[in-house]
Amino acid sequence: MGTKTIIPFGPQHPVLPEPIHLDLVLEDEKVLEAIPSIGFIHRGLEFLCLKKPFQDMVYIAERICGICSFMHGMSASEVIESIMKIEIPPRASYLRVFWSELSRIHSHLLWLGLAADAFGYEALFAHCWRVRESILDIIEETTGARVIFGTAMIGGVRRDIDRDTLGRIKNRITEIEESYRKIASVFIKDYTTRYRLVGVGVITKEEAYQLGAVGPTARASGIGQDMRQLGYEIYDELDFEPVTESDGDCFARCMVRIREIYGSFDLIRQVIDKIPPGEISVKFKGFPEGEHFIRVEQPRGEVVYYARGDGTKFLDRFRIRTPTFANIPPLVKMLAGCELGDVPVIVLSIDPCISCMER
Amino acid sequence: MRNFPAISMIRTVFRYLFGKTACQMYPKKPAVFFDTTRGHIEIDASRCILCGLCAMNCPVGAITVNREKHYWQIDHLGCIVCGACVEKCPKKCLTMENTYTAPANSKKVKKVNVTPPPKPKKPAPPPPVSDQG
Repeated sequence: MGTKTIIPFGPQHPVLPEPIHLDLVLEDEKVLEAIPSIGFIHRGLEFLCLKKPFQDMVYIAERICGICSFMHGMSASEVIESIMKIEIPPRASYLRVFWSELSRIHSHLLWLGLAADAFGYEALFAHCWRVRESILDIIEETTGARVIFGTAMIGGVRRDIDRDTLGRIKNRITEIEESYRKIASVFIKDYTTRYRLVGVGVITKEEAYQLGAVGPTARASGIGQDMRQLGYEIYDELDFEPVTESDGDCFARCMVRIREIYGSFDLIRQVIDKIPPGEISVKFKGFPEGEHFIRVEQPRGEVVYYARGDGTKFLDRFRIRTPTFANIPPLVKMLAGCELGDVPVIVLSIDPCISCMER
Repeated sequence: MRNFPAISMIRTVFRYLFGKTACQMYPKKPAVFFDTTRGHIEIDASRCILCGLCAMNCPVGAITVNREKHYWQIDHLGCIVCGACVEKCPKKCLTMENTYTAPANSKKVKKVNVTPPPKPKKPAPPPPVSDQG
């Protein structure tokens, strides 16, 4: 039995874009235990939402995360609409799904690039982000901004997309998918990728279920759970299947994200084909009174939004449970027993978004 | 082609050697913005009526409207370019430009003097109705 050593990992580490601290208990090069500690980037955004009128809450919710900003804004709008029983027009629902799926593609491509960078494949990182740039161009053309979309609002969406632009986007999506296919084949076939990812950070289906894994982390272990199946917005009218893998290692998590991007391309095409004409927002009166919680599938997994209003223009309680928070216990389980050199790849494999988690 | 990875690799090398570059030489070739890009807010002071709806709807309080001293003011560093003011402006004097504001090394606000519209004359009182008839 060797001597135990504790190595601090983070909050400042080359592989971590955001601060999280892990105390790694090592015996030689093997990790026995990982003890996480969080709280480096808490901004008090939930409390700030209570101090602003409920219409302005969407702007704050969008700034919780820079990657899934639209989904946070959409979820905040949805939870208020559910309390106030506002029916949004179908076109607004379709546009929300359109921008959500674009967010998912750009988030997964960003992750693929970061993962390639983490296992030392910088050329692949640049190629992933080149493709992601084309998606950001579509987002900027349709919403006006690259990161904070600013199009979600209570009662619908702010901006409409005309028919010509939608047709043009459909053609561009096909081109982007072709260039993405070449990158994806590198992830699937390349020796370097498989060497660094296969069999690393394994978590079984039962462990993932018991520890409450969500999103691609759960689906990579064989749990076919995707909140889009609940049919919020118009997902019940679109054809899609949740992507699942069975191995539960880093390669499976990578494969789930790679395959989900194809699913999102397909969903965008369906939205462009089916989008009905009409209004994009409805006016509403009154203040939220009552409580509601909703579940939305973000690129990283399931997010839970809870709001309670007391009939005034300020909310009484506002709470968000983000996917990264749910994925930290599985991460600790994955790290136990791995090699020290694999820790950065495993930490990145759950796609941690610490700003989301701490808000 | 799958059986000859060397040939596939050479094709990839030539494509990247002689193909179009993904990056652009930024300061020499300026960035291209879309017409819809949310860059910064501009005001046409000749049409402004100092109603203050933009300041009331600004979620971050970046706009100040002073009716007594007749000016409209925006803090470009505080503005989150959401466009709520542009949507609410009744006279459509606020516009969303598609270029970003220049970098600044100090916090300055942009102040625009606005000539207030002449007050509408009160309508003349109706002539008294005689009830002699």
